[in-house]
Amino acid sequence: MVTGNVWAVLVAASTVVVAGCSSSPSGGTPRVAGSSGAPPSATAPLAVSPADIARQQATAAYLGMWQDMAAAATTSDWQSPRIRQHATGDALLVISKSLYTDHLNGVVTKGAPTDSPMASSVDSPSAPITVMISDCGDSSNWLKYRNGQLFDDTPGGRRSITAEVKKQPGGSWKVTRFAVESLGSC
Amino acid sequence: MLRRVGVVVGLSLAGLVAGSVPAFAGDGWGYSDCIQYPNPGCELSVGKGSRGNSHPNAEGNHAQGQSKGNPGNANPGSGGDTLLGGGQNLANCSYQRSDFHPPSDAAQPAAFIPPWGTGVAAVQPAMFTLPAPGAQPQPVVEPPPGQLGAWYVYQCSGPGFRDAVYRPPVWIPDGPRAGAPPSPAELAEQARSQLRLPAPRIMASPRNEQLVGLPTWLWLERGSWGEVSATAAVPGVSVTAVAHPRSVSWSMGDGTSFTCAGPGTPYPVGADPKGTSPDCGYTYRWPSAGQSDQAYPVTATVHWTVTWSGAGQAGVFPDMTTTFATAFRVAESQAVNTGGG
Repeated sequence: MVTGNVWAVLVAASTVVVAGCSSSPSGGTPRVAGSSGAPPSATAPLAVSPADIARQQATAAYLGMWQDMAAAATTSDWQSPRIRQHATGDALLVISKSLYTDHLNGVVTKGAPTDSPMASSVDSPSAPITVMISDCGDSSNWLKYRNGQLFDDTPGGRRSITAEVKKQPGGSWKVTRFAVESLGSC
Repeated sequence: MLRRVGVVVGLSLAGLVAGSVPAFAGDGWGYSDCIQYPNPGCELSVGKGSRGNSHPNAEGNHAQGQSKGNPGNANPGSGGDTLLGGGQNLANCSYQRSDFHPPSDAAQPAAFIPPWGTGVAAVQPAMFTLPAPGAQPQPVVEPPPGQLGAWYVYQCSGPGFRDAVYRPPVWIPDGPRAGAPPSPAELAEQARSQLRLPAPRIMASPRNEQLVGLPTWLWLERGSWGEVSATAAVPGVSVTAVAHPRSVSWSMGDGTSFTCAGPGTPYPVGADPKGTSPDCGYTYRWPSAGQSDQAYPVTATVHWTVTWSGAGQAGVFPDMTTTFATAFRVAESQAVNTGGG
């Protein structure tokens, strides 16, 4: 039966994806911060490595950046202090330029993007300062309006996004650069 | 009996049509799109036809402030160059100084001049700030540290621009660069930046719904498949950039991708419904039930080769791409084929 076959394929695909996510990019060897000399127990829960922490914090910063932008974009507040929380450098500049342009055109953006970021690389397993993020962001519910009407007939959609997140002098993580691809690029 | 008519499916089926017409900015990432607005950061782009090493100033160069209701506008000098459109591709963009300034945390010039008001008369936009052609891709710094200049916003009008909205601010350094006329390659970059690649719609037969096992014909709307050109000129030098559509990469949403050498062949009225397209078609093997929205997301990416010539020189730009998206519902054939066979 065709329907059954389709579901079998989907289930198999899901399994592969889950397995792919759970494998550690650093090779699966758990790392322990600080060298105690004691080998990690084979049955103990995996120790969280500095790279894992970096991945998690960088991903959170990345998501925070778009949440901040979405919040500021509801009023196109290009000078909002909030957009500085998770973005700096070129990333902050591009966001501010975008909001400024909308402000100038009397445009606001309603809703928020849907993101599914993955940390694609970490520069160092022991002392990471740069994490690269790959995302397929969906803007279907993050559209621009002017005078209560949709700004244009672009319905939004999925965009492939690459971002660079760096550890800041204070220890926090901020997005330093990002590249957003065309609609339909993922 | 099955009756098939080629129709526009882009809007009626899924309403997910995306093009590269620069006026599109309708989602929250509109002004971050690396194809339309090569911002700093786009050098991270993983390809896909974006021009990661471009400077935003490539958007245009004739910062002749047209001071419509712009109180602080510096109408900087006279005798600037103009961009001549290649016929229908004419885009008339005008620049105005803006009050934009980067957030304090972001890149900022070491010597920043408040854009509005002060020093206006002294400011003259520089022309042609692009790096020399062939330069290595490098991280975009906007603006370069220490450079004097200002942030300008610009509006474009002409066919394809449905209203004159402001575009994101670009940094234009102060001029003048006395006595240095633009090289043909620099003019070519200006012409390239004015190319307006069309946003054709995805067409398919059957209309409305594809059927498992029945060949789907794929093509792009004919009128917009063709050469696009734009010309940039200063007195004595004229350079034209030409984009040729070369091929179309189709992603059918079920994991299958392929490339067609051309725009595809429209389904002729009265042709055999079971016949396959001579050059661009696909036959789905599984229904789209169970997919998001019960449909396969389909994209068509047009690959363009871009060349330029003029002033006795010629060259090739990196390929450009435009991507268009829609969605196909695919049904079991017996579920729909109720009109007889």
